[in-house]
Amino acid sequence: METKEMICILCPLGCKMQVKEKTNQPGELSVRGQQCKLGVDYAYDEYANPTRTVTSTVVIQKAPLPRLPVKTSKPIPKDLVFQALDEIARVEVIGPVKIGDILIKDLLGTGSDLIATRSL
Amino acid sequence: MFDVAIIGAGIIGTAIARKLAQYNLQLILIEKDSDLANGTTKANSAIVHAGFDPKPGTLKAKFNVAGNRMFEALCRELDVAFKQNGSLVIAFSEEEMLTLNDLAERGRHLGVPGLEIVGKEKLQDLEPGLSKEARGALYAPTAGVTDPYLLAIALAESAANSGTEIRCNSAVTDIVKTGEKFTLNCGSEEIEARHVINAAGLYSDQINAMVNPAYFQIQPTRGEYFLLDKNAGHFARHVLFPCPTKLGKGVLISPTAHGNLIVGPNAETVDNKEATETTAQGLSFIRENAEKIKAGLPLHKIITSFSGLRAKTSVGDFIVEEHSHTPGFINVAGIESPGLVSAPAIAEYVADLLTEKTGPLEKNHHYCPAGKRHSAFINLSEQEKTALIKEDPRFGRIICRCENVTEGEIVRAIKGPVGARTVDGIKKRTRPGGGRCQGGFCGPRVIQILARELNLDPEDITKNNPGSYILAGLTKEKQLKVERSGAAKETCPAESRDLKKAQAGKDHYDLVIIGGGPAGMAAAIAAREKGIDDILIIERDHELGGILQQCIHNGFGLHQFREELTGPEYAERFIDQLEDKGICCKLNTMVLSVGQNRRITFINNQDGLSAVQAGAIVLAMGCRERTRGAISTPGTRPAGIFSAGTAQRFVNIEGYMVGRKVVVFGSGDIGLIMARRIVWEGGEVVAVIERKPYSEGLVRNYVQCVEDYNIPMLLEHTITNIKGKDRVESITIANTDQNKQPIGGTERELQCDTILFSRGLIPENELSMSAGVTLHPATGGPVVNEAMETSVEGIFACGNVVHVHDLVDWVTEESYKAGRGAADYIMRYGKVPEEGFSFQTTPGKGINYIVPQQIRTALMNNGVELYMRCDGHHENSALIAKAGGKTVKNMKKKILTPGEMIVLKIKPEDLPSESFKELTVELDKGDA
Repeated sequence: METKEMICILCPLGCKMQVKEKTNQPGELSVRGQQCKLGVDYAYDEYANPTRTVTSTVVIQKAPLPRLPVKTSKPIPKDLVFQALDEIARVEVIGPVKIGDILIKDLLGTGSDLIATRSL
Repeated sequence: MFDVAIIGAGIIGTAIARKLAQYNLQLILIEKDSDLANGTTKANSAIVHAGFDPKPGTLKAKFNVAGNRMFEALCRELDVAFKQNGSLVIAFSEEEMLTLNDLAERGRHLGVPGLEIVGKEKLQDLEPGLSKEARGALYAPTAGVTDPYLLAIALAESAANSGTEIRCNSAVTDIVKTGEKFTLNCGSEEIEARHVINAAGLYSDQINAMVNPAYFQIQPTRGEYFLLDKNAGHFARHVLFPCPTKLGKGVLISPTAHGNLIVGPNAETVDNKEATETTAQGLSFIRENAEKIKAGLPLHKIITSFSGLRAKTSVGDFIVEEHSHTPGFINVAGIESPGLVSAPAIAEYVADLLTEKTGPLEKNHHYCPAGKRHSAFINLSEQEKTALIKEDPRFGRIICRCENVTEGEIVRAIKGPVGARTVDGIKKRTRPGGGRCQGGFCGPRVIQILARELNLDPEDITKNNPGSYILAGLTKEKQLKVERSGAAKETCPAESRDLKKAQAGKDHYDLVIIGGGPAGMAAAIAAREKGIDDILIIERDHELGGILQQCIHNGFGLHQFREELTGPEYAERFIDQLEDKGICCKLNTMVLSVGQNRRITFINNQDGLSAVQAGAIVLAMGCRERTRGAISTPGTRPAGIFSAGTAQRFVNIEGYMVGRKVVVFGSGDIGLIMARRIVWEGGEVVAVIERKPYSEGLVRNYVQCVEDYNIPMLLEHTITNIKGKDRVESITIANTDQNKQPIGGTERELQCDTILFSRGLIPENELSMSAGVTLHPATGGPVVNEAMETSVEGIFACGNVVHVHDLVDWVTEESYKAGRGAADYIMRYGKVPEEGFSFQTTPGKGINYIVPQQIRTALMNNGVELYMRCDGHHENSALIAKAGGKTVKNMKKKILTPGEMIVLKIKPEDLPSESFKELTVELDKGDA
């Protein structure tokens, strides 16, 4: 199993951790380098299914500003970030838009929606 | 066919053009650059010398003394600043005193009026605070300071209004004389003229060599300068010179015509006529030498550094003559110092040379001695301001917050015979971007106005010469097949909101809040909840929310709302509340000053110049970014250098890319977040460069913005040079030592087209100073008490104007406190409760500052949060608060870093019951 180096982001200590799946116990991780048990939880999330919230803008017409800020309503898998950005780049909306309006439902099948983060 | 073609539109070319425009001549003024005054005229000391320095018998001596006499009238006629503040040449030894005597003698002989040798005592009267070592000085009352580029522009405008043609972006590449006619090859066109005047400055040797023997060479000699903030302008009253040596006049210190302080120059021979970069060596030479004249130079108030090239020749004197080889061709070359003051006299002399050949000339009946109005709007009288806004409401909209430049002035600078076409052109004419934020706030707006007035796309607007593009295409370009919808139209996002408008003419409010960002909004809400109904928020931008609106990333609100919001979402929750509570706002309104009795003077395009009186005030103006200029990163000054927040505005709100190959300098959170934004919009981030051994931003931002995208984070590195004439082309980086200084020999080059500076934030307290509020040296913000009241009764402050926060949640918390404090103050009619006592908070070992600085126990309620920052990275330490000899708090801290604010709540029951004066918080580093 591959060892992943990762930095815990939960506090300013930023522990550098080495995380590896235990050979004899699939799904169980061996975590080293953390200074508290929060690091272990973080390692589990980040090892198997790292996710990120994507925040960007989309083109908006008939609005006082040329871009509308948006985000994914939930974090999406990290490997889908660039695909999501491609989808976002294709969106064009017409104002007015209310904060929270859904612009793409179930983005890339992630269960997360692309939503407006301001009214414009 | 023109009668006269003048090559070069610097101070000399423009002065000659205006002089000749008095006669009935067909004139053309030809400039190779995109704007007038773009060479030596743009970057020099701006001193109008008295004239005692040049050797008798030289043209320099003759023109300097004569020019000085003409200067006041000229500047008055053209409405250009000239301050005759006098100069002092200061002697530090007996030997130098002797030199002063020689200079005085020489000056009197040349006819310089009013020269006086002053002794030690009078010198201290004239220039208080001068080094005590100073023995005496030569006082020259006729010396002064002016605005050289505006003067050149005003001269050109006068010439243009009198019929002179002006051609920019037109480099003369060849001159052919056939018979009595000169043909000037200017690339796309040929210009014919009977006479040619060579005022090409640094390039005058090349122009001369097109028709004459190469009998002189220009040896460009670089001079570097620092420019300091206007609030440092009073550091010198006079132009302060050291005693001159063979090398020149030396490093001077002087107030500028606009009230800044200028320090410089050095003198370095260079082999390139475009080598206008600053250097680390040059800048440190200036620092050291300036200190010798007057110690205590406030170098932390530097707003920019720049360099200019003097057009020196081996001749040592000005060259103003027709060479016998080519009749009809007049050289005006080698015009180094004192060229600026000499310009009007040189122009007269050149006119005489010309009439010697042509015979008496007819007068031009269309001669127009004045150009346009140039006096800055902000310096006009109240009546003049009001009248102007009435005539054109654009004078009521402040675009540049630092210099208070209005939209009306910017439009005026664009219109007209020699109007600005570039961002630098606007800056030369009306100064937006010339102030302490260096265009960080106004840059995007200036581009919008230029594009609108010139009917261009904002992407086509350049900083200066062609190639100095500022914007690198649109974001979401793929989507925009048809309409290239870029920067905001002139509509206002707030118009779609139902915010309560302030009643026109109402001149008193119980509470006025200056700033409608997160701090101002929270203060308003808290005050309203405490029962204050009569509240006004004054906001300079076109909508509420402040900088949150451009912070489209998430991470806000975890403490306030227990959920993760983006900046605009966080802002909207507060804007909704203001709307619900019917709190009044004035948007697009700039406060100019806060005076006695809490009288607030403001300006907008509806009320004009107006004032309100407030029962209490909350200052919530936020902060600005530390610029490249403020930290004196050496190199050229091309387009492509942004502070990270300005870039954030361009990318997130206006929809423009700022570059394609980007370096981020500084690892603060804004820089890290912008690195990811650039990658997400399809750009490349070459590196993030940090001088310290650790990243300054949150670990999360390091991991999710830098590491996720394999962006190299170069710790213990710095930028030692910026290269590129029009646009950034590359930077030199070097490793840093323990003092964050570059280590020689470790330099290497990185190719990039853009640099984002993320080097920290500075509380913006110019208004607080106008109100007389005491500022704290460590925070840069007002000294406040537990209610966030400043040293001036009834004036409160909160948010980044007090100290720079890392989380908006703490801003909100602190601002609720300020709003409640102001409400209490209003309801108590200013009466302070008499019970209890007050004590100071003092940062001890390991702590940089504590806010609030003063606490009144009677008003502590159920406790006070102390906000503080530590001085470094500390693991496993203890935070200890002591008061009256007792430890009142002792908290173990696993990790403390300067980037994360420490919040320590002190409750009344924690404190000793008997009165004490001071509560100290220190860090016990334990075994770490």
